[in-house]
Amino acid sequence: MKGEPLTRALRQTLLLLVVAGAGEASAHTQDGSLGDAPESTDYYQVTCSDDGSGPPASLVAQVQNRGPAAASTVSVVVHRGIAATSTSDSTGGDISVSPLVYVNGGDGVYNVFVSKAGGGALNYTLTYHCMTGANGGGLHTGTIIVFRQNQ
Amino acid sequence: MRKPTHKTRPFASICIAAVACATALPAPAHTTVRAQATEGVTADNALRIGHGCSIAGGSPQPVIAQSVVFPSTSPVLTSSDGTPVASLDTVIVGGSLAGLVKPTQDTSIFRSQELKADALGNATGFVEHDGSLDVTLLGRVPFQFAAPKFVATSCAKRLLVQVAIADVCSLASLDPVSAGNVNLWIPDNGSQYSIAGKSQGIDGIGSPATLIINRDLTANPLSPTCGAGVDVTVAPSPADVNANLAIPGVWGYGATATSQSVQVVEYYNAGLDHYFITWAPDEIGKLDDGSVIKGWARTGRAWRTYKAAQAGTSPVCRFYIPPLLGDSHFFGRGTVECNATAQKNPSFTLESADFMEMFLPAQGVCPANTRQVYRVFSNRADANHRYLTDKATRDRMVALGWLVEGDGPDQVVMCAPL
Amino acid sequence: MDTVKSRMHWAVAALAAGMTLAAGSAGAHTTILSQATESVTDDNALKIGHGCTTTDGSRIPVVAESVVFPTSAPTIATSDGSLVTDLSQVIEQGTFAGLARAIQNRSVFRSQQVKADTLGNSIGFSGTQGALNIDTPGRIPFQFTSPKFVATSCAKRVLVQIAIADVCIFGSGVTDSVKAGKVNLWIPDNGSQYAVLGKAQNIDGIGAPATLTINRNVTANPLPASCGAGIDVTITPSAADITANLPIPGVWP
Repeated sequence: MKGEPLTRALRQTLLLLVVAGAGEASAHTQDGSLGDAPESTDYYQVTCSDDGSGPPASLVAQVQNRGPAAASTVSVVVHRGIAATSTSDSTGGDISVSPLVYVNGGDGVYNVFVSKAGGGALNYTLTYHCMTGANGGGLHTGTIIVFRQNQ
Repeated sequence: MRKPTHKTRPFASICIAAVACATALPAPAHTTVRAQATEGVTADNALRIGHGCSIAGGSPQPVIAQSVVFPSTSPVLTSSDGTPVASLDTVIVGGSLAGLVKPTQDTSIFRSQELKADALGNATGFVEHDGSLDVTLLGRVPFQFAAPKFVATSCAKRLLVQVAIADVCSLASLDPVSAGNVNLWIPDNGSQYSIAGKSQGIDGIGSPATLIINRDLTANPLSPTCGAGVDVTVAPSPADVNANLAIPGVWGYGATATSQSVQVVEYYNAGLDHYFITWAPDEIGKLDDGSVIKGWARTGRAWRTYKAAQAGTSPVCRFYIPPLLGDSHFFGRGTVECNATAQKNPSFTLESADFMEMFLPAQGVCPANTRQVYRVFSNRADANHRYLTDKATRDRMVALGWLVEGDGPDQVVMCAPL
Repeated sequence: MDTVKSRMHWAVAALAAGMTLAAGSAGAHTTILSQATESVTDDNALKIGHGCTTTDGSRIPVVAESVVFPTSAPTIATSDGSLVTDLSQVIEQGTFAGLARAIQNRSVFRSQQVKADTLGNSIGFSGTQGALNIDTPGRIPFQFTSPKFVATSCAKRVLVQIAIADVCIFGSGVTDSVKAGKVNLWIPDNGSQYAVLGKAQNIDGIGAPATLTINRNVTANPLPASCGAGIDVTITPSAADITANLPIPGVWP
């Protein structure tokens, strides 16, 4: 988006620091896989709600490409309303994960799309948390995920 | 629409069997507390268990035991506005959470329940075992909680009680903290469990369950000077978690009759001329892998240590020395040295008060059936220490200008199990 | 004297009948414990009010239960008769699949199963190997994540009709299983196989599904001004949904 005061990389770096400060180092995870076709896309809907910890303010997400090692980049797009963001893990089968990203969409449904850059099947782990604070802060609150498309 | 592909989908392959089809259900949440509480009100509540244990791409395993620890022994107190909180009795009447929780008898998941108690017999948590939570179902572990009253003069509007919880899925491994066998919903505060858990990539580190206690602002209003009030977070200390998370006789460090030592591996970074030691599998994995943490190689030297306290052992603390002073780690033997180190070096970060358990020498003499460990200091601005069981190598380090530190004629610093 | 005895006899009989009727209605339908509020995840429960009454008048316990949320092409009706063609016009999720999760509980049933759609999303659950004391109401807990109302929708409440079968005796096949005294069917009267068979057998519950009421949070998510007081939207499982998903595979019918 034009006019952004921060570069994408810097914003993601800051987010990583913010989330690390929030102490949310644990996994709320969904394992999945994408098929051979390059256009294979898995589509989830994450519902953020108040489970007693407080009303949600944001959804944070990241993805890990679990290979095989030669697998192409896997990406996740998070969308709610008029806000969207994405993050990618280009290296399959190692311990690295994509940067954390967030959308400050409050309670309700977030659309989450996992796709890849090329052909060949791969496995991934999607991590997602609904948080009571903006930008992924605060306490973890009601988070459920539902499958919408499985490719 | 699902396209016919040759892909492997871990859950889909399990879904062929009728019952196991349900294992394809989307992964549910953390272990959390069901409801908020209000000061002065005793009410029923419950822990919500969201899922069992698994490793990436693996099949989920059911939770078969659970340990629950409320912060009671020297808890860590923090305020949302950063003001120091000297003690819990400045926040809640009674000054302690001990005695406020009681498990409610319920055999839906576990057949056995026991109370954890302090020396005075006040409940500080509970354990549940002899059970199994179906991997397709959610779990509820009911308890009663008597919410304390807020001190009238306190500016706290909420008390966030972090509850340390271990959801145990397997008792088969000799190592109580291993990937796929337990989820640890505990603070990331340097406890034995958090260090081991992080090194194993275990779910939950840094995400303890949080019980929110709300002030009754009508019956117990905030002082006008408090403004909107603050949140006070009460977290169990590392020592509290270390001492109380185990399920005696069932699971956890020191919980079973078998004591197991682990291997401490030494690494060297030629670019830094630094040495490092660790027993933590995840650290060993990353150092051996070299793609994230670069430049380290095994020296081929190793010795053994205990992860849990044994009769006669003392805790070995682990400090991180900041970059300006060395970008290195120091392992202090015993609480005396550890406390002194912390006091003299406030910039050092205490990563663990109990990273290892070792025997200490008496006038430089190690107990029978143990091995002498020596320590040398680089004597440079970029401080580094090396820990050795081989005296000849120790002497060669000294010849290179390193300073020896230890007790007795052989200058022994601690004693390792064989 | 015979007249008096006759009157006494009929008085006692009437009293007995009244008592029987009172006992039969004291347990009431199988219903939902609590109302829900949009965008809140909380525990709820089914309330089982009574077992079955056999043809000879004996009361017998519920031994299995099947629960189906409306997820496959549900029927949508509004309190003002306005047309709603798709659930996504009312709730952001557009479906109830995945929102209800069974909680492990051995109080009534020793074994529990989850029902899921082809993608693996929860659409209901069942319980078997149970025995609910005929004099004791039963509670079957579940967790429910209430959906968020679409901001532009005029819905102030969503009434979710849930199809429930409380099984007391297992039969042999559908026709033998759906008989008076063997099962109570708290399901819509909408032409499903079970509704048709159940009505013919005068089974308790046809046309009286359990209803989970979800209330809009009108403070956080107010109704558009043009909506006035707002409407109720009722979601009912389709006949096909019930026919397909009410069975407990390998157990009932």
